[in-house]
Amino acid sequence: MAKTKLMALPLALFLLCAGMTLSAQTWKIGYLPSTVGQALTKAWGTGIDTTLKAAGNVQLQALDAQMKAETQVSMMDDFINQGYNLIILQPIDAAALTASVKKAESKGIPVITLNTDTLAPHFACVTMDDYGAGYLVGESIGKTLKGAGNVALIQSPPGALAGVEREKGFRASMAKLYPNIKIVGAQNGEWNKDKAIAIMNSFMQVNSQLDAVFAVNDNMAEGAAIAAESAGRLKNIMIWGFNGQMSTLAQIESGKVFGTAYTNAYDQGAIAAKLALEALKAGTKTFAKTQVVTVKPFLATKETVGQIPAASRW
Amino acid sequence: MSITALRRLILIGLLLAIGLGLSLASPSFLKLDNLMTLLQEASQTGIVAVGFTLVLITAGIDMSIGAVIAITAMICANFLTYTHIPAFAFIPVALGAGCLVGLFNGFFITRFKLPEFIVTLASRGILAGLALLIAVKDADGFVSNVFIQDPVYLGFGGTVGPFYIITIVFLVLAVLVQFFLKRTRSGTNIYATGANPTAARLSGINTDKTIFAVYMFSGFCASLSSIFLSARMMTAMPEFGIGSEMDVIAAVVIGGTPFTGGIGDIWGTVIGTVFLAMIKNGILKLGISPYIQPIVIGGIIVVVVVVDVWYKGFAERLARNRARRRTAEQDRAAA
Amino acid sequence: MAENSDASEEVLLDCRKICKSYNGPMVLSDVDFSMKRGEIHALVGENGAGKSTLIKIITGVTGRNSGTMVFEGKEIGHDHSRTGAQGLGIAVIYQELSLIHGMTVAQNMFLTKEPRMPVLGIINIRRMNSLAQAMIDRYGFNLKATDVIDGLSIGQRQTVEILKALNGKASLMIMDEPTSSLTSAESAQLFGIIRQLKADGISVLYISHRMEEVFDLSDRVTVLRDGRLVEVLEKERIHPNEIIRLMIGRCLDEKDSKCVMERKGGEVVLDVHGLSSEGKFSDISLQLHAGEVLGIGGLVGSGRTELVRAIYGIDAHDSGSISFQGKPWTPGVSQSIRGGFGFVPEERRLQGIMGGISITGNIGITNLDSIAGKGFVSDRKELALSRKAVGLLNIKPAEPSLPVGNLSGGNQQKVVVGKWLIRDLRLLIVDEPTVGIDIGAKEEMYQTIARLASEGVSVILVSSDLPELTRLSDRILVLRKGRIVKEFAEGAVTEEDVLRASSGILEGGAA
Repeated sequence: MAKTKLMALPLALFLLCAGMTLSAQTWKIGYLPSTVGQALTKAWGTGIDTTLKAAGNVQLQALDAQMKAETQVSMMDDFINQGYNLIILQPIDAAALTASVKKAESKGIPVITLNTDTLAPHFACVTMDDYGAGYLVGESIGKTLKGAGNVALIQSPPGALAGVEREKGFRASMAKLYPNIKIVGAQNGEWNKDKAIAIMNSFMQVNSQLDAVFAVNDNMAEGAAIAAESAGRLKNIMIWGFNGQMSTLAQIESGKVFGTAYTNAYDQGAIAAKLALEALKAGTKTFAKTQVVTVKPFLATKETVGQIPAASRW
Repeated sequence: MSITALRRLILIGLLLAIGLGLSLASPSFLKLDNLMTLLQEASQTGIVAVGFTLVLITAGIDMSIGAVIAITAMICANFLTYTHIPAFAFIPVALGAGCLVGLFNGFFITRFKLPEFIVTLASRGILAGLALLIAVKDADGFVSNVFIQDPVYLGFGGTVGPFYIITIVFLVLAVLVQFFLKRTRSGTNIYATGANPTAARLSGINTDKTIFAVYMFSGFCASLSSIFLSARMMTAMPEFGIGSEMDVIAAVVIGGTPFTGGIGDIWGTVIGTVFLAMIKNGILKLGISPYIQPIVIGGIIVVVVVVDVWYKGFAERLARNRARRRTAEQDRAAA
Repeated sequence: MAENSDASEEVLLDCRKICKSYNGPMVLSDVDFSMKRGEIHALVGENGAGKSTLIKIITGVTGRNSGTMVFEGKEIGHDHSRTGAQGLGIAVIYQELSLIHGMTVAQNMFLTKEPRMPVLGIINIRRMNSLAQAMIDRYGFNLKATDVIDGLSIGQRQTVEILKALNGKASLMIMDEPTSSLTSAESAQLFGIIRQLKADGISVLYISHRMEEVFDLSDRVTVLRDGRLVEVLEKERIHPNEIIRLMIGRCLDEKDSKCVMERKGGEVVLDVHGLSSEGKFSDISLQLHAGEVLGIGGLVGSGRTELVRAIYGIDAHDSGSISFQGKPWTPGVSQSIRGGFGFVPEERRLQGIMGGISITGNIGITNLDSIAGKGFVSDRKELALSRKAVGLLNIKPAEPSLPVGNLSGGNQQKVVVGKWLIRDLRLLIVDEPTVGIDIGAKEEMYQTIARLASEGVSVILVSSDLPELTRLSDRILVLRKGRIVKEFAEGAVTEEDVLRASSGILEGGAA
């Protein structure tokens, strides 16, 4: 009697496992952004979800890596161990996630990366043009300042590739096109609004003449605008952000933030989802080279922001 | 004694119960791959926790362990990027860095009688900054996380049979340190130093030397775990390990080593780390919101500590009653 | 005795002309002290006679200013240290200070001396346990080597301390008030052990206030008074009355020490009935009248401090009742403060002052009700109050912003008293108010207490200083082992009377 009971347990477990695999007509897709709490990653998620829902038969699971590469690596392991069919990943660090991407691909799980490519070849990378957009922002600031003035940068944490690329693009345009514009300061705002307020305040204290500030994401640009407004210097300082989230677009309309490099994050998510469905249908498992899809940036300023329809604001 | 054993038994029982629950709830839990990953994660915390346990037994605390992980990773990154020194030659240097941090901590704790928490918190800050400072930079001066390709170094992230090397190292380390604690004079000195430093000194124990040793060992363990971490991730980042102190503390406390010193052992820590890793793994498996994870872990710590304090009172009452009974017996015998 | 006479004549420790002062008055001056091998030697004297200092010098805890020490024929230099003393075989039996909780008897006995296997320094636990058990059995103790310290009685722990010292090859064991927390049966057992140690040729230096123990055990007694050697009594001259006479050092008819007790008839302020607290004191009943100074005498550990702490409401009591000004009273610190109680605790540094904080801050803390009426502390009122206290008690320097830790002991104590005096005080409890303060401050403290009493404040004075107790008190209660054993309410009382009662020698002397 006791023996049969003991036997029943593994049997039940086995049936459970078997049942899961048999009914695996539905594909399981994992979505693993750097963190789920940001407007950008939310918008991606929405774009992915709506596209997949339309296709049916797909189950989407999102996890939050909380901005920590170690956490993201163990979550990748978990998706792999659980036998997900495809993973959409925003790597927190290109190098740190390379091993995980390699591991997934070796187990026949295609990976689509968002914004940050990794060093291992994988199915696809759908990216904003960070460097190019940074370059465009630089160009625009230079034009408005007529080639002379003081600008400051609010940076991303060291090693955060997307932020670093934006900054590099910006600095490249400055060096190439506007040698007379001085970069008077650059500090790490940790992607964060509060931190940006403090940094902006110190920039303004040190520099009596400050003409423009480029924050490498919108949150920090909004923070800089708050600081400049309360110091009464918003009129004289042009503040640029990056991403184009809904709240920042509104601030551009009201004249607090001067401009941002907008990317349609819904579209970007949808593109990734469409690629995912293609890969799953084709059943291809190995990729010699990463297919890179670049979503074009759009510079939104007071003059151009009206061109972005409400449905495309995230 | 039996109280400790009972506590351990309950913890193991809980571990098995959670394991059973998870395997029923998620079919992928019992897969070999998943179990091995779980043990790998446990070992990552566990190696650091072994060193931390010794510190806690001396009634100290080491807040610098996370930053030691970062600085060790950065030292390795520099060697890998700028030199052709083979991994086996520079890894001892990197491990030595952890010991050096322990030496620094021990020096300020013993010589200047500064609180352990403050000293190690200060070194945490210093090391975290230093890690960024020495991080490998690209041509434009931006921190760039190296992609490690050295096959010897990457070997640390590999497996032997189904087991990850880190798991094997963790278990061997645990066995050795447990034996050291219970069966050598130096091990006994660690307990004595934590239980009653005055008494330990009166008994001729060099408590300062003991404190130096445990902090150095704690640094060593953190460095060791850093090597495995960067090998697994195939990169080294200056923010490695920062913040991981909390997981280590949680694992050790769940394992039954209290902050008050003089009590605890490595077996508890091993169980604690596996327990913690299982809970994290389970939260992922069940698809519960990741925000719940710190709440669950925090909640478990509170429960464990409350039960421990309650238990301690219970055990003390038991001991007191026994002492009273003995006194009464003697009085009768004398009469 | 006869066959041992050669061995027992051998001098183990010989101290000559030991002098010691801690930056100021001489604590020990020209003290000679010697111990023979295998003798039980008692060291007696009132509090402050210099016993502890002498022991600290012998055990290397503190250095001597001058004088020589010879142990087992070898001169001990001025670099004598605690570890040095241990190496020589001088051991102190602490109550339980040097035992490690959580470890077994054997582990404690062999701490740092664990027997090891030839490989890798691994401790041979089996051998350690059997060696320990063999030693326990040789002395016939009721202990197991594998018992954990936490489950042992105080007496057993003391036995483990002794075993630990024996294991460290001690030839001189120093026991400081070893019976103070033992039951009578445990004490009897300890005396058996001490005699056994003597038989094994180990010398025991025994310090106790309990005359009957000294009388029972000792081969010789050294009496100290005011840091000087009074006399060394040989066995045949050891008698409690004689020892007490030598300790006090004054003749019975000396006028100073003879004080007249007088029952005050005022209104009863505090009425304590049958107050008990397990393990601390039992069945204490007392009445305190308005304007009365009630002295509480007794040895350290007799339950004096515990009693006044319970009355003030710091510790809870188990049974009994208290009424204050005719109404039932539930003790509690905040009630007490509101009711007009003041409390000057025994350990000034630990319980009375906040050393790093100014005089003003220290005084303000008990007077927050008057300086922070609306919840905010008024600096102005606080300063005014502290100036008042400084003036009232002549605190020097009269600088309220000075951290109290920088003041002299006497002035620190004035701050502790001062923070109560500026209140509407009904009852002041002072516990050892003049320990460690100089003569001048002592005198001022006495005047303050007398003045308070004349103003109608009732005072409970706990003191080990017998002249102080007899001089200030209107009435004296003597506690012994947690009970009131004697009340001196009327007529002349001498210090000797109090000391006898405290030591358990009631009229007619000891056995």
